Amino acid sequence: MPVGAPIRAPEQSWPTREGSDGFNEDYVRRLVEGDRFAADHFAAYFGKLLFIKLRRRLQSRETIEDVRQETFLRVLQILRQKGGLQHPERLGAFVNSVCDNVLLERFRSERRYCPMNEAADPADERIDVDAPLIQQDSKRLVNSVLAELSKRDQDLLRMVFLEETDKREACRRLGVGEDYLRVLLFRARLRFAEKLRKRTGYARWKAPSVESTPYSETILSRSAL
Amino acid sequence: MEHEEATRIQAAERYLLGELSEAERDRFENHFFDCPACAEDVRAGAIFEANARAVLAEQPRRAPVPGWLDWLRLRPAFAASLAGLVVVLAGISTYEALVVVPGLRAELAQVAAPQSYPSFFLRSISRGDEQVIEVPGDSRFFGLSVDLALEHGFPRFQGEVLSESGASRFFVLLPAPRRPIASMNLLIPASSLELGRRYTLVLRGLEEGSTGKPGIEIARYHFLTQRK
Repeated sequence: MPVGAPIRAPEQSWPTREGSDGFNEDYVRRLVEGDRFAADHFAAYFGKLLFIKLRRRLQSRETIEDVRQETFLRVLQILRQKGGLQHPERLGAFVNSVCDNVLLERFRSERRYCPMNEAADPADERIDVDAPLIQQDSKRLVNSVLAELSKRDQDLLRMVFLEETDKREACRRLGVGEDYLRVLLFRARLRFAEKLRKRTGYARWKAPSVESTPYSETILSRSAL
Repeated sequence: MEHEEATRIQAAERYLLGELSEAERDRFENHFFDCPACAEDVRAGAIFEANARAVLAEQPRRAPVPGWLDWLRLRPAFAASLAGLVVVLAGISTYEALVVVPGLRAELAQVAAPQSYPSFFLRSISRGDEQVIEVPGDSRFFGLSVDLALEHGFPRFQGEVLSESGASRFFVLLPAPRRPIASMNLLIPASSLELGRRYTLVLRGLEEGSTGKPGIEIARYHFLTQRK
């Protein structure tokens, strides 16, 4: 996109929880054209999702970032090729499959040239790896959610999230069923999302209006979620 | 994976907790990359998890106060012994509740009920040899009587039953007779003496204020118990 090009707000709603059901042809077209709104939204939306996906497979923050950037690059290259994406509404699944391919190639490459694969590398400090998801504002909100939990629930989360205690063992020690942890996380996540909505005062994932702040700035300032 | 299925199985939480199989995980990822609602759930959950980890790491670790269950978990051998003991105690308690207590109640009722018992008069050794006490099979008690003369001058007496080996089986205190010559009666539980054995009843006089001192032997009575 040329520097100084006019910023256009999306003409239709893009993927939102409350809005459209998914991606559409307009979104993909604007992404291919280098629209800044679309590019920012694409990077913000899939950046977090790819990180979450890769975080469950890779231990190193640098490796995660490499795979994520490679995925973005390949997706945009393919979209800009003649023919592009046949089904724009499946853009998300397409990004996911490209990421899978990048991951697979990386694993094969490491297996070929390095006796130690990624999974065998000593794990980095998890909090450091999680850094892209951690922000002071989010921490404050999470802290307030944790403060509302009982001591037992806090201990359970501490054991599972921080001390890496086996989930079954943690539940057994605290005398709760194995489903309890999932329900606890579900409720905490809802509570956290609710607090975040109150704090930020906007519905997440919603494209800004034409008169609002340029979308790129919106995404950057609200990228906690 | 369809959205309804993802919602129904709480796929977002299962995904974050690593509870999905590899195939389920791949299917769910394929879904939530396309589904804004599920993507939001996963994203909020992941951000909560990462920030909770950071917040909890910053909090001073509270020393867990181990409950007694934790204490036992750290000592499996003791816990196993304790569990065994609990089982045994529970068994004993059940046995007592179902067998012993009803039996004791029945026995108590029998003891408290009016009943007859056989009584035997014992002669002292100087008057003859061993006497045979034939206790009827259905008697729970039997009585022993001896003559006591006031002339001994003791304010009270002690009757002690010795076994063949001379070991004391039991003793009872007897008040002095009010008449110059009177019979002293002892009621003895049949179960306190083994049948077919020889016993000796030793009668001693106790002086005033002689607490703790052995009395002065007055007479001995030998008898053999038998079931009639």
